[in-house]
Amino acid sequence: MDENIIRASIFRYSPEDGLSRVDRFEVPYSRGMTFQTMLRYIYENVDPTLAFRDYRCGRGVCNTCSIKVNGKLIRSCETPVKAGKEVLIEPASDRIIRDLVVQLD
Amino acid sequence: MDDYEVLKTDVMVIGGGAAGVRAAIEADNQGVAVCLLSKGPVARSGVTPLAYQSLQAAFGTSDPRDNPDVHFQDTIVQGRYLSDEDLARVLVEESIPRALDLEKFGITFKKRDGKFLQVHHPGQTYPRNLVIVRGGFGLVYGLKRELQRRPRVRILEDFCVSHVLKDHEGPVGTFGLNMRDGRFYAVAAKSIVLACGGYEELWGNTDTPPDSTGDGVYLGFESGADVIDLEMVQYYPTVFAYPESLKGILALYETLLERERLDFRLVNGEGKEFLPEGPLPARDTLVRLMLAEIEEGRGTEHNAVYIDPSRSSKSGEEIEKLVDELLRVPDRNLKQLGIDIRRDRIEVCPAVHYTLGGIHIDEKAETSVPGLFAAGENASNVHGANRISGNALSETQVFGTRAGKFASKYSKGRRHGSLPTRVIRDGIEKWNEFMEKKREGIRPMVLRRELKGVMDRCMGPNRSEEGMRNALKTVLDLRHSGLPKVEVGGSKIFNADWRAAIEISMALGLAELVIRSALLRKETRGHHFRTDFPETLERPQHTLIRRGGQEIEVIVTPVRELSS
Repeated sequence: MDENIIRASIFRYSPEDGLSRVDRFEVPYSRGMTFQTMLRYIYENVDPTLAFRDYRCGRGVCNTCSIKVNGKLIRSCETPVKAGKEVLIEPASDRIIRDLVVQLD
Repeated sequence: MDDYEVLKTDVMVIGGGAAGVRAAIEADNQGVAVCLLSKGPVARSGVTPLAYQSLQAAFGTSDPRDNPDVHFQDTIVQGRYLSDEDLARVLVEESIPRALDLEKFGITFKKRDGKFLQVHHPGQTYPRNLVIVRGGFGLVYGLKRELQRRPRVRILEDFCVSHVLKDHEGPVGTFGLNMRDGRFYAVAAKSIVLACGGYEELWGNTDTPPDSTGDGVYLGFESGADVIDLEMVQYYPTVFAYPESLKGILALYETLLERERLDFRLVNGEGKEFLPEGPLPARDTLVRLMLAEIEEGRGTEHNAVYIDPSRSSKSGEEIEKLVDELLRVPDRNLKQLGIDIRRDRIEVCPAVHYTLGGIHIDEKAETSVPGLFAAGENASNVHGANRISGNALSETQVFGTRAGKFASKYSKGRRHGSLPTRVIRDGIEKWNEFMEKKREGIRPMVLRRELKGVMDRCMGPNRSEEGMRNALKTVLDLRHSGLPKVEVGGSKIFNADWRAAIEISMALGLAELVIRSALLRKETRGHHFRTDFPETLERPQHTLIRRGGQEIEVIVTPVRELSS
């Protein structure tokens, strides 16, 4: 397995037709990459329609960037991705607006 | 087919940060109908959640010699005499009752023996900053909880406002895109509070979130309000320059570098300390000293300087205790990314942190357009040319409250004006054009990057006539040739590129104003360093821009002084 590639399967939901699917992306790993910088990479370079909350308080307190990675809830801004891994990324709750964007309390 | 929704309220507040939410609470206190529109989720967008824990109010608990008069003097002197004194006076008087309001709303402050803990930050004569538990997020989340206890307040989140609507008498509402359903909305209102944050994101080198694009300041200008001192942009001295995932995260120099706290040292790329002996200088001076090292070739690999823990006078035990007490959350955050602030040298450089310029307000937080109010970073000029730590959050509470109160008073006994259908239809057409295929289409982020690049190069802390003229030319080019090429794909609900296209349309307009304003200030003051005009003029004046019909009027106007 290529150590410099992250294979991310990302949950997609389209509110227009209510359909969901999982898209697979391959992202080049760079040092210090977090789940948030990885999602930003995909949005900027691969798929402009990927919706996620690109916001961080920088302190790990606001939870705006929360997502589920392999079923576990994490803060994407402070969680590093590991090179060479396969990950499944899903929204933090079932109150989905689009893709990984959910309504927050 | 009706292509937009229409809603109605008395007072409209734009912005879901500390100033906007406080304004909405106050308007609700006055018994009027309130609608709050926020570009992101309330309490989870804009800069407030990024703020550290400081709110300045002269309770004098740490030092009985402190009082609002000393707070006033500190604000004026550190603001390099560019604050309007009437606004600074209101700030120092009312930050005390507003802090007490926050306690009533359930926001907690660090206390000692039942009294507020007050700590010293650079620029303060006596220790004056209250310490909010969980920082800016703790503040704005607490305010949001208070707002949620008021069921009459209508909240629309993920709503991007693009127009203030007016009739011949004044503002009659706003118009914008609701990201949640991908539809346009016109919201009729009797008065409007603009409180949706600064314009730091015109630059690339910032410590702010991507949504700080200055929409509110531009909306104010477009609706005819005077905007002042737009060139005044405060830099935070120590922001991570490396690694990429930490870029734009600030390292709290007040805690890391203060002698009585961690006492870490700033060193250049050659490992030498370069700050003068004595207390830490205020932000504008510190930024100048750091930039001199970087620009004269003594910086680090990533054009920065180091914060070096190894030269601290504190013992390992003391450092451990202080990190645990003052930096517990950022410490956890950094550790996950492999950085230990106790031991590792970190690379930091100055970055755009706070915009001091904005819409000119009076003591009622009213702009030069009756019925249009502003607070927080949308408003100016409370802080002058250099803001001291703690005054930003105080200002959100003092002027947010005033804006909410006086906007409510203005709305009482008034009828709704009629919404200008033509302007709304033109707006819809303009924003829908982004969704059409172009021959050589570009994504909005292309323009955003180019704008940031030129602002970093020519509109950083060191500025010259020539550089700024070049920047102006580039910005006008991007606006006239770049903007029509912007193409957005995908569908209408929660389309980030569509929002980015609307944002960049406004940001390019605002960038022009910022540069014109900076060209007019032919002196060095606070965070505006003119390489071609290094002197500070004796008489401080505001730079002021207003819309005069199709023309832009750029003038200077006196700072408001209090008669002593």
